[in-house]
Amino acid sequence: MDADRWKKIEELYHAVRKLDAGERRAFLQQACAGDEELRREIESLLACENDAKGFLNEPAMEQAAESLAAEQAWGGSSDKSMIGRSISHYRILGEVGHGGMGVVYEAEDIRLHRHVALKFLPPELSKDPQALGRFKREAETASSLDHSNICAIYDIGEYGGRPFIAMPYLEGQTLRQRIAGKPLGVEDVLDLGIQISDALDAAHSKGITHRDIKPANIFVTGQGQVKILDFGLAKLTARGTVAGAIDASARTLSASEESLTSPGTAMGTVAYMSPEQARGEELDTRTDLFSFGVVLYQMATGKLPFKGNTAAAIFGAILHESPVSVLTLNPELPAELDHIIVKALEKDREVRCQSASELRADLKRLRRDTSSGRTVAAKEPAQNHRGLWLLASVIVIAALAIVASLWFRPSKPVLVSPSEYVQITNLPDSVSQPALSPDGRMLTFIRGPDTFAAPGEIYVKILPDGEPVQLTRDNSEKMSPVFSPDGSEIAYTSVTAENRWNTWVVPVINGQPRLWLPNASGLVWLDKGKVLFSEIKNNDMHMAIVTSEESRAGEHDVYVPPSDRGMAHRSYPSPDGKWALVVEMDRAKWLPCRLVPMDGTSPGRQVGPPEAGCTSAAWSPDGKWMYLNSSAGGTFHIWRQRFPDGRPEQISSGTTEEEGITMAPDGRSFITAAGLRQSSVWLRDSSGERQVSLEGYSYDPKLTPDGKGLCYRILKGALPMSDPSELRVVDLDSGRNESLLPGLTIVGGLRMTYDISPDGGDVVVAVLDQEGKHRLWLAPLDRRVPPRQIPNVEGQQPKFGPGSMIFFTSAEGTSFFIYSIREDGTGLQRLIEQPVAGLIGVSRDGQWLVAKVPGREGSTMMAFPLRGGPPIHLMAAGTFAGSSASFKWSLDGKWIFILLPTAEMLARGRTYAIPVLPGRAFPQIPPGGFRSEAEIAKLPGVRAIDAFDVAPGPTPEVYAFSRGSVQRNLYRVPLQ
Amino acid sequence: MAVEGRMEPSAFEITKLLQAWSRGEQEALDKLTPLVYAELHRAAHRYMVRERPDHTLQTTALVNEVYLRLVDTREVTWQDRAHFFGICARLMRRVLTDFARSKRYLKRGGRSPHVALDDALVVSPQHRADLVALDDALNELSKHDPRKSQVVELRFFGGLTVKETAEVLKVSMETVKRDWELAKVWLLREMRGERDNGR
Repeated sequence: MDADRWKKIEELYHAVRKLDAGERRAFLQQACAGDEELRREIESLLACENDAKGFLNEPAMEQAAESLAAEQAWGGSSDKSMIGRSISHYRILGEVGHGGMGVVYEAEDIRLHRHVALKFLPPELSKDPQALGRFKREAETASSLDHSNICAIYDIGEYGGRPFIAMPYLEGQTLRQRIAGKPLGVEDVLDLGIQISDALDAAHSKGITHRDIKPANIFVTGQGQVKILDFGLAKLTARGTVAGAIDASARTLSASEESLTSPGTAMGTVAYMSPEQARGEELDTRTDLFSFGVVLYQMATGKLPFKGNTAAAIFGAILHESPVSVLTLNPELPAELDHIIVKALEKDREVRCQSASELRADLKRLRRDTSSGRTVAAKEPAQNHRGLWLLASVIVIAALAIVASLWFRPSKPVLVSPSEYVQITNLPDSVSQPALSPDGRMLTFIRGPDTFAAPGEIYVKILPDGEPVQLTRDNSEKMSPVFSPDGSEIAYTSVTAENRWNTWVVPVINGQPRLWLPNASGLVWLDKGKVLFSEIKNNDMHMAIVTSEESRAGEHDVYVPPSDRGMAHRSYPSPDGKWALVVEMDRAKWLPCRLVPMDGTSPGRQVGPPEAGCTSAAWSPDGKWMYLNSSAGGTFHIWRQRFPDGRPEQISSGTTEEEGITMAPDGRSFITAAGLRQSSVWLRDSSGERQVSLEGYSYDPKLTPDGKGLCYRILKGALPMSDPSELRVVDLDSGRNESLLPGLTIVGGLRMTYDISPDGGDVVVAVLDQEGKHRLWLAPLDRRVPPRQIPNVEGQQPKFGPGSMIFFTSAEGTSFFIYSIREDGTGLQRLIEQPVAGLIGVSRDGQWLVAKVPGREGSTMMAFPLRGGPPIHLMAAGTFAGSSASFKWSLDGKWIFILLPTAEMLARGRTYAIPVLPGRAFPQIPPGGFRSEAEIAKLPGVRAIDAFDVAPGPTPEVYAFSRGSVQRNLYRVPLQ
Repeated sequence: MAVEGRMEPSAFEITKLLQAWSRGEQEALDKLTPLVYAELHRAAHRYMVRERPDHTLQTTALVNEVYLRLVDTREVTWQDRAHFFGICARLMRRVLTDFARSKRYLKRGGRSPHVALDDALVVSPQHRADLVALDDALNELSKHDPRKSQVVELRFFGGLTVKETAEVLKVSMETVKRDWELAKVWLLREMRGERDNGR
């Protein structure tokens, strides 16, 4: 082809694609300006646009592998040794066909000397004798109708554990082969349609529903006689066709594909399902009429009315979309046929045509009228239809795209009203992380303030009414208790002050806790003495999911977070042991849960509501649902999602937060911890305490140097460490309380995000921009001029240094360094040459900078003299230094406040105010730094404050602080 | 077909073979083909034992795995990564098309067509793109637009992402996307022989 010509085609094609369907024709007419060939060329390409969406979507390797697998399953490696063998009174002559459902052999009935086909069904079917018996009865009844359009069944037998059906050996082809993507002639449509409706009428009148009417089940003999196959079989095999189809939806299929089959398994065919079938409801004979409508549609047009790339999309179309009119696709058709098909495809079976005989009468009438020439085809100039067709396809595609992402709507809303919860514990403080014993009769949980690792004790309770029994008494940080498979012991995670994560076990009755596996956390049992747990890898911040024997032999990685700061803390194996749901954080931020294959061959992918943190998960006992704890929408609730890629749907709601999920063995309820967390900011001075914050979860206060103003943050989500917050400023005299940086997003832990300048004029804040980068902004506290960004720099943890310098941390590769910059964005330089783990603060006199420094033994807290000289150690490695402990100076610089956390996520802990001598920045510090709280508590002149999130004022008597509380108990949530 | 019982070549040897093949030494292909076949059989085996019920998760993982097994990219230093991907994609196309061709041949030569009583149950390969027809159509496409043909080769046979394809061809991602869109409709039309029907 001429290169210019091709270029022209290319340009026009892309230009047209951008247009709405309605505009395309006019555009092409104009653009092609009488060049009819060019216009046809573009239109012929556009005609493939729809099908191209699914085309080549699967890599060639995958496609070839799948074909090969299918072939090997039933072809290349099928049992040739069967040929010549005698089964019951049949002698196998050869193989007729094979498929996901089974193999079909050609055979001779040696008693009756007739030619038969033996269809072998999957062996699973024989395991349900009741179902098999029911099938036999129905098949026999259908067969006994002795209807010329229903394929008779001679015999049902079993061989080698596999049931088989003997039926007549037919010569001809299935309707599916007959259609093969092309419309049939109107006469054929009517003739075959009448035969099918006749067969359905006969079966329905005996109360037999086929449930799986589709072209592949309709045989057309060489003489043009219809034979409907497999009456009754659908009920036997398709218990849960919907579920089967959902499993199949994992497979990406081309849009033209009509049946969802998978190598080696029968999956059912969704494209022909009625809406009530797609919803999994009880079926009656009218389901067959809908499926028959789909078959008629396909015979008339060569196309399916409900299409999609996935089963989900097809379901969506069946449930919610009106198909394109057959007249649009094939203008040759009589308009009456359209009416008949529309009537059969009514989604509501109450308004659908009600009987096969009614359909048969309609079709017969139409055939009479057509053959006598009374019906004029609804034919109009084809061009008009073409435009309409394009428009219709575009609408359908758009609709499918939406539906594909939404999954089909469940028949009932899944939200469970809190009024249906049954309270299981009634403790005055907080309990969390429930786990049921394998038999569902005992419950273990942690009584402690947090839903993650926090100081607390393990309890066990016999359900429903036993008193909770305390099993541990060591006040260590604990997490994730679980019962051993025999229910005799409880394993749990204990976190040491040195940030070591170990698994302990404690007997349920009479026994002492003992350390079991070091560097193992979030442990759960798998089958056969295997365990699944988290293990710290290269550094303290990198935690992977691994599996091994209980002895830790044969350990291998299941999932290793790609980020070296990624920590996969918890994992939940699927009932079949092939998958695990993983809870992970990256740099202290909870990520969505992740579904990973247990064999470690892939990192899997995230599931549940996107972007939102997920802190625990569970599976339904049948493995079909994944239950997830998600902070989507700002509060933690329970969600669930069909395995593997359904749409997440919310289950619990309301003002409480629900965390932790343990599923009852019968799958009809789960137990979760529901509670409320609150935090408010208070000021303490000579007149006592008063609350400063107005509403919302308020925290992270800081007083202005004159002590007359105060800033704090309000959380706009569930997690103080990782969700957005708003910075407020309060005038303590007038009580005026305003947002300082409306519209800007501030994310970060306590004391990480903002600082007030020593003169009290400005605030410097790290703001998350739309690209996810932290930018530094300066805002005057009096708001006389608008906030401005410090140009050209990314940074976090900003602090004012001496002489209007701003210190901050920024990443270089995987390390963080401290930099300084002037307010106008000039003078950027690295302040300290060694990497840090955090910038804690600057002394009042501007002489010292306090930072956390990573080391092999864990982080240390160090003070660096800004005028040069050796740094001093404030806290030794492996102590509080690894936590969010902090150093702050009082506004007059005469006291130093040391903040020590006990439950970080709740801002709980203690603060010690220690006097410092004039001219000094620090009190007496032991060589190598403080090692314990006791060393600090016994310093001369020390004052203890019972709060952790403390903002020092001018003296130890005046300070602001946040006060958090949590009340949380366990509830049983019923599922429908 | 499989290479059981035979020592598989080292990553280094495979690199040499790929380079030799890209220089036009056809014998190299004879040595490379069994490796791709072995992968194909491994992948097919996984389908059969249903180790991977959710293969949408795995679509790209599978192809990447093939690359990793074929050539340990971490150990082999390629002067030109793009060149390497290009050759691999071509190798895949060549071997998989030959594979499909041999299946076609077998079918034609075999027993007369089955009378499948329930052919929906047959997982029929014609549901998928016919690799042989696609190969022909690609050759046709490359005559007037070699780059689009390459885009399809890299993405479909090579399993590369849009981004990787753009890197290999040294064009923008936008260009790759546009090429991919047009190439697909063009190929579909070509394969259906709808070109002359006009609609």
